[in-house]
Amino acid sequence: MTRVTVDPELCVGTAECVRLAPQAFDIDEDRGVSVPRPGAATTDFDILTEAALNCPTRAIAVDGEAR
Amino acid sequence: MTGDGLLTKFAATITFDRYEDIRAALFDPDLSRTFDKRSYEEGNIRAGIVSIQHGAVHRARRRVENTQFRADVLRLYERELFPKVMDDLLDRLIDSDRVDLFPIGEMLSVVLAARRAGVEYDAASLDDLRALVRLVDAFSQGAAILDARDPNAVRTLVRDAYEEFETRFVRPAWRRRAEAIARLRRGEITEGELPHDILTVLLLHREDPSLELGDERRVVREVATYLQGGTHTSAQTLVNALDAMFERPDAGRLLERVASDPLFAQRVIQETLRLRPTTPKARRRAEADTEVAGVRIPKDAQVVLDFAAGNRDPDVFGPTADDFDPDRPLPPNVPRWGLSFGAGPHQCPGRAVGAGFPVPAEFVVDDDHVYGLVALELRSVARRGVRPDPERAPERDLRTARFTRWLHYYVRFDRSATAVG
Repeated sequence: MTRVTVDPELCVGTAECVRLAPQAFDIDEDRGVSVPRPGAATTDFDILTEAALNCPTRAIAVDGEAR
Repeated sequence: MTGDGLLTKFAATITFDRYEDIRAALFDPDLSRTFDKRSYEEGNIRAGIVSIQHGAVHRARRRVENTQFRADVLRLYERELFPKVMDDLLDRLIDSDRVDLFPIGEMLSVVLAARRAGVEYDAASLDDLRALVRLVDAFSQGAAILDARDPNAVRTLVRDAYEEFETRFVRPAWRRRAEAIARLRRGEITEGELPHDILTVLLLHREDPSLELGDERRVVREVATYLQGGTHTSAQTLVNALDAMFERPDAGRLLERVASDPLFAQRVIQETLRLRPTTPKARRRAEADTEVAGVRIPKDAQVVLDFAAGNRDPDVFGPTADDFDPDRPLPPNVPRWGLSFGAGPHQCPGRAVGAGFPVPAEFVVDDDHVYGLVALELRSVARRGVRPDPERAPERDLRTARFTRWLHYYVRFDRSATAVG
């Protein structure tokens, strides 16, 4: 099972992760930060990894293995 | 580095010129843009702006400001607002078959940059647009002060520009937005009815101490930063893209492709940004001992990041890295623009405004795609039959050591060419 987290202290709300993986991330507009969506855990691992790599503040952590 | 109010002693100066090493440095939390305490904290012309904030204040500011760069906002600008503004302005500004394209590029870009920044101006008034462009030129010199040939003259110029900018463009907008925010707080309007711009979100959240926006002049400087950032790079890149194509023996074919294919126009812009970054080098200061790419960096060292060299790293961009090739293949997760928008926490927030979304080699356009405003500008001037002016050479901006900047770029237009299509 893949575990996806976003560190709200690091996130600056660029929404780059939402662009790359809209099924996995959403923006909490009240806080201006990204949050994982319920579908994140079942999102393609490579897409999650790309979102994590492209996060400018390295706020996204993806734990698990490619299926 | 000595004189001109800049820090006189660094513990060491370390330069990175390889793509991956520069990226690693950009992500290192101990390397700060607030690298020059004297220049940036005592009477600095850019004091307190987001670009040179570090850590928690920087993140808090970006969370608020990034709301103005969401994909839906970009699509609104690109599909609904910009095309008409662009065509109307080009019709007015290309008033003969030979023109200076650089100020035209600035005028095109400043229209939407001013709207996004949140200043009040008359978009139909060329006087207002020319005044904004003149102020942007001053702010651009301020942003590049570390490479200025006469830094003290730049400081005076920028301080005067802030005064004019605040009085003529920011204060009227401030009053209107403050009234709207007061109405929101009285429950008379919803947040969605507020103007969508940087000034509005700064005023809306200004009481949040984590933003450090208590000083009104800091708000003015922040708005100026977005106006400048949204104008200058776009205008320079439009001209650099044409210059890069004009240098090629197949320039005519390239321009035909640009005119007919917006995705190719976008690749041209992104390839131009790679080879001709508007900021060829960036600098950081080590806030603490750290290590990047196996290199130990002592506290108070200056770190030079050579973007121009990193963007030509053959390990990433291949053996033809020095060539202008908009069709070049790219490794996964390497943007075509290389390091030209930075990376890490300080990555340019407006990169997608100007350059659109990344376009990997196998990319297929979908409904959500954003091409970027400069690609649309390039395509529009290509359709109007742009070509070099053989009788007037372009002029580089010699006020700065940055090699990618122009002051004048003279071109000719085939006035029988169509702008419609």
